[in-house]
Amino acid sequence: MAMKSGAFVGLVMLGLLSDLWLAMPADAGPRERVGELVGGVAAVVRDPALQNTERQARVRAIIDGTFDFEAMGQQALGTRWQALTPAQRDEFVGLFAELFKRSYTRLVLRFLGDRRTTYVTESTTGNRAAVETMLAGGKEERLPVGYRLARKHEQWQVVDVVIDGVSLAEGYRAQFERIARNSSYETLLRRMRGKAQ
Amino acid sequence: MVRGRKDMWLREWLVAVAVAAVIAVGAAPAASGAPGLEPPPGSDSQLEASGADGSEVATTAAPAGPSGESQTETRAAAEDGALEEHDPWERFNERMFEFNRRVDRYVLKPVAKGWDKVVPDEVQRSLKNVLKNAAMPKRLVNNLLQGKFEGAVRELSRFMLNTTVGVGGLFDIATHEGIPESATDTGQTLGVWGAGPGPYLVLPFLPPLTVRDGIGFAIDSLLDPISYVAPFAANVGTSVGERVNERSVNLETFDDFEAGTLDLYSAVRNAYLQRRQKAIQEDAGSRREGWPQPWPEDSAATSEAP
Repeated sequence: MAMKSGAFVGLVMLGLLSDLWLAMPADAGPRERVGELVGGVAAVVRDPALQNTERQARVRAIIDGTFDFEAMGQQALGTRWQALTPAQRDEFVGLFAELFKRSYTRLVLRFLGDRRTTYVTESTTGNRAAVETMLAGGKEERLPVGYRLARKHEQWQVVDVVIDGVSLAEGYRAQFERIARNSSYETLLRRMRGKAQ
Repeated sequence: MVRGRKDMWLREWLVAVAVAAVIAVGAAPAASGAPGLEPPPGSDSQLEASGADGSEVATTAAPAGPSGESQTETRAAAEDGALEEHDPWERFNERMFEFNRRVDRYVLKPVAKGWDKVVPDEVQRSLKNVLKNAAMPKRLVNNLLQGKFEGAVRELSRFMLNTTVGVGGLFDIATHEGIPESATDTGQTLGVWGAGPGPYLVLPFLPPLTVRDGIGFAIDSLLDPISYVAPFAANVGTSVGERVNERSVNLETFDDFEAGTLDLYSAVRNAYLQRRQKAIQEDAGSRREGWPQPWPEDSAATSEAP
């Protein structure tokens, strides 16, 4: 019995490891990383066997493995980031990640189902890269979507998505800045917590 | 009949001049320092095209004006985008934004939902195609004014193809044949010519604007051929129909956008300003590619992602 459960745990671990291996090739370039994100999400969205909650969970897992939320949160908070303690930064990044995942999951579930992505260009400067793609299909014929990536710990991670010229990271920065300016950082956190629940 | 047509032209001009005047009056205090609307600090520099090198984030709060309204201004420059959010009339704009949001929530969205249920996607797309095809003169004139000769030829080709083979513009044959639209407007032309956006401006029943884009919007309405042949009421009806159709095409997109924001006002303002900046940068880039450069390169307008 103990051997059976040990073998089962081993198989599960092997499965998880192989999933991780497939999801994160060691030397994947910017375009490959975007391909993992877009292709992975599209496959989940188009899988008719999945229930809605399962589909959402899988998309969130893919987003989790592709985006660098710490870098995004730091950029979104601007100069206020410097004043935060490590614990406050962790809290902020956690809330930001949750907000982003909710919003982006909704977006990709809506947009990637009946559209196809084609790659337009890729450019790399040092540890930064930009991958431009075009979404086609649906009610809107063509929608340019760009991905901004940064290399961290020898791996490319997405730090921004630019949809039809509108940077999501820049949008968050503008909102956070206005709330913190007109009210306070505490108000910003309260509203983030409310939205993340 | 001739007299009626003349009256119609006169009315169109008066409406356009009135809109331009409202915008100009709205813009005037910033320049003249009229009571209630304090001149924005550093307004001179903000009317220049965004520079690519300024990557500062600075927030200043101007003192309260005689009306008691404090004017706030936020200048934010992204790492490589140098986006300026110049909003000295934020309080007024926010009230107008809330009004427009209510109009959208209680009128436009329900009507658009009904329209979306009744009208198939293909018909919505065809209607959009027809209106887009009819708005060709605006794009043609602005392509020419920006020196985008290739874009102007493309617009003419698209119009001829879509009007004939595309059955009066119902079908966008040109795009399928590899002739994409060269979308542009007068606000973008003014931007390419070097006019800065000026203050952000929200007016009732209108999409978000800047002062520059508001002037462009008024001029563009004169370039709309439907306004020459249709009576005023029908023209307004067409505009409303276009808004409803556009809203129905983007129902889910708006919902997603709203659900994902903490502060809708700043999210919309930022998205609008980002899109306009990108459009003007692209227009400036196309102009350089398609026409001899009549004046020295403007480094501010040439910043592109590496």
